[in-house]
Amino acid sequence: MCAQESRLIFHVDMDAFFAAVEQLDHPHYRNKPVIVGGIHQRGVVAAASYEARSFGIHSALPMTKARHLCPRGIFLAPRFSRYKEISDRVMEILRTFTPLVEVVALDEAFLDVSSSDHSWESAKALSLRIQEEIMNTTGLSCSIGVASNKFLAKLASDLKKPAGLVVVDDHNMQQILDPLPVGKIIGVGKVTEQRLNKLGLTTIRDLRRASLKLLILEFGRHGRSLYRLARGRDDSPVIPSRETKTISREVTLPEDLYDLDKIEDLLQRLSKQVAADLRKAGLLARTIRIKIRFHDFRTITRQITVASGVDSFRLIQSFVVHLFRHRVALGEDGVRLVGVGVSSLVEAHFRQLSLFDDQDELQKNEEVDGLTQRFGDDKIRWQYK
Amino acid sequence: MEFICAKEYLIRGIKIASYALGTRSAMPILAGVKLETKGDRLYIYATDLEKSIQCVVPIENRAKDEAIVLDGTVLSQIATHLPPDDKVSVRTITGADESGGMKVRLQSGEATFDLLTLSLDDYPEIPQLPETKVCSINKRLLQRGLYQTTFAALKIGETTRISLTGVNMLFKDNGVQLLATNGYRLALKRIEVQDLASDGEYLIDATALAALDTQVLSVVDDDVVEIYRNGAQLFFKMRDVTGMTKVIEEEFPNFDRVIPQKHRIGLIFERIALLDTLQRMAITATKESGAIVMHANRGETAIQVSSSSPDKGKTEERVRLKREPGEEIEIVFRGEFLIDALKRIASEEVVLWLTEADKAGLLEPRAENDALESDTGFIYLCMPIDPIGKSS
Repeated sequence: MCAQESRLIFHVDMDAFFAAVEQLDHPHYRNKPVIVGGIHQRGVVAAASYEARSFGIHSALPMTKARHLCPRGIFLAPRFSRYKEISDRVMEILRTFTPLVEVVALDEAFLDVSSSDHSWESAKALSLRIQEEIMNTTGLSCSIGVASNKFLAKLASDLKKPAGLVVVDDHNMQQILDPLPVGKIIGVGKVTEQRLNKLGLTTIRDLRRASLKLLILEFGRHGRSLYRLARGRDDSPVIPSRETKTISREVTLPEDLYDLDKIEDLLQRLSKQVAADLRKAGLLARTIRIKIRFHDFRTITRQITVASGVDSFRLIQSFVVHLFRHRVALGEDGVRLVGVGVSSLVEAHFRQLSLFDDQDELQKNEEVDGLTQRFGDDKIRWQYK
Repeated sequence: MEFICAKEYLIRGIKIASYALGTRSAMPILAGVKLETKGDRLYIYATDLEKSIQCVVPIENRAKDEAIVLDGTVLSQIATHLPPDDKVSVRTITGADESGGMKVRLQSGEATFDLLTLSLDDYPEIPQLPETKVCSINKRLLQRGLYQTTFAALKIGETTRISLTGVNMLFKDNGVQLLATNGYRLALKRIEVQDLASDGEYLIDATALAALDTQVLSVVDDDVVEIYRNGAQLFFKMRDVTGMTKVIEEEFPNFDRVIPQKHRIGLIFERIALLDTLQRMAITATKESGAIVMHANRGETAIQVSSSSPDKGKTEERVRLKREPGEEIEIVFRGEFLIDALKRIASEEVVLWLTEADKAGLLEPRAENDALESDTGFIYLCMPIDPIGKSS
């Protein structure tokens, strides 16, 4: 294969985004430890300001622990619609620099700014302009990683937060990569990390020295990509206006369930979470799906597609219950997993207005969101194109 | 059972019966068609329990009256492929096979079909025509009314709000108002009726009504359809054919308050021109929202229409107006919703009445020379897409 033309990729990552928005909106929170997360005792930290991080608070930390670490911190429930609003503004700014903007989350995006005559110097200047533009428009700071691919750019943006700017080029690449733990590699989760560690591979340097044969033997196809990533190689393209394809929640039960009411109950709980996820992401769903796995691992899914997108808990729940009651024959079989998922997603800023909207709907949803934040310890499953 | 029948009548009867034929998976017996001889008439019945049909065919009866049930799909296939002969003869034969069941021999020309029968005992009771007549309706008007409303409802399987899968038929003031909605758009048609005996409101499955239109009303040559009712069913009676549909026991949403009474802007279009433009816009509209942006400027004789999606591109066009609007407005609709309605209007011109970007648009035929009355009494309501997402 011929050599790939070199690309120029930016990873833009807002600094402590949710917490920074709160500090922006509430000047008296500035320079103070602000922690955003589920305010219920079982909630987890969604974002912590840099002041809070100095107390050892980081995202995904249980809120009770955070309170313990920083009793005088400012603890806030998230306001996702506000974050979405600012996120939209940031993405809009990014799109003025290139149409190739891939939104990864509310607070991060990849940009492909390759051109025939790009250079690392011009890239650095461009990054500074983006940071300035975002600061001037929103009052928020961001960190940018600049590299020839997405993997390196994302690593780079994380190296000098906040307001950092790190360029990974051919000269410093290996030097930056080598000391990092293997867990920093895209797609290396806890399990893979442990398996790598067992093989004596703890840093990216170790991984780079492992043979392709060993990696393929141990990890199959994934081994090949580990081999490439350890060398800083990644061809994955920046896909503009990256759409979330599905959002789903599922639970594997500690023991098989036979009781219809209990299963229905679980499905309703999952519906609530999915509806909250949808609203969090600012999306509406047209397809609602349930998934049931029986004790023998036989798995069925049933789905319904509706005329216009929904994000209301009440509607999603009614579809889910309908599917379960009318389209699933349970028989005598025990159930070991239930799931609720949505797809055919559309951005909520194109909201098809309804003829018969009752006003209480929105209010109800907000109540539910309040409830769901208490269960906020599950991760949303995102699946991309 | 033994009779001879004109092929043409039998074919027509079987075709009409397929309107109410059930599926085997629901209940095997419902996939059957019941044939019953009564004197010089053959009664053909089919039902899926939600709806039923009865069709009377003249015959030359050669045995005592009897009823049998045959597989409806097989019978339909035979009806389409009968040899070129004028007559069909049908008679029961006692099966010589081990099952000992009854068979029916159907002969036409040189072709002989020996068909297995289904259990007559299992066949559900056929609902009888009740005595209470509601009114009579001109068949052509009823068909037009169904054509202009049934499409706007949801299909079973698209919703759990069963009321939105129906057409609400409101009999009142010597007319019937047919109304269907999917919650986002609404089609309303008022047609005249004769001899309205009593006011009443019936919610009927839209798919069943659409099928009644295409599979029954289009086939028969009656001019008038008589409507009968009992508590839970509505009957459509013609000379030789009677169809029944069940009334949906659900509350239909209150639509009176959603129909706007005042309009700020009336955009008058040549219907075909607008339809063509919207169909072009639909190409680059996003799949999920189908959003098409319409922008009218005060004093301009054309509106700007556009659609775009990140993965397909952008389309833009100007559509001529018959009259300059007095005010400016920009509004976004799901293209499909407007296209559906424009296709079902016959008038050369239509008016799109608008008030605000987040209020319903009302589409109405501009039927000044509507000699056939094909558009009389039709209005269509469509909610826009909110591009700002105030509620998100």
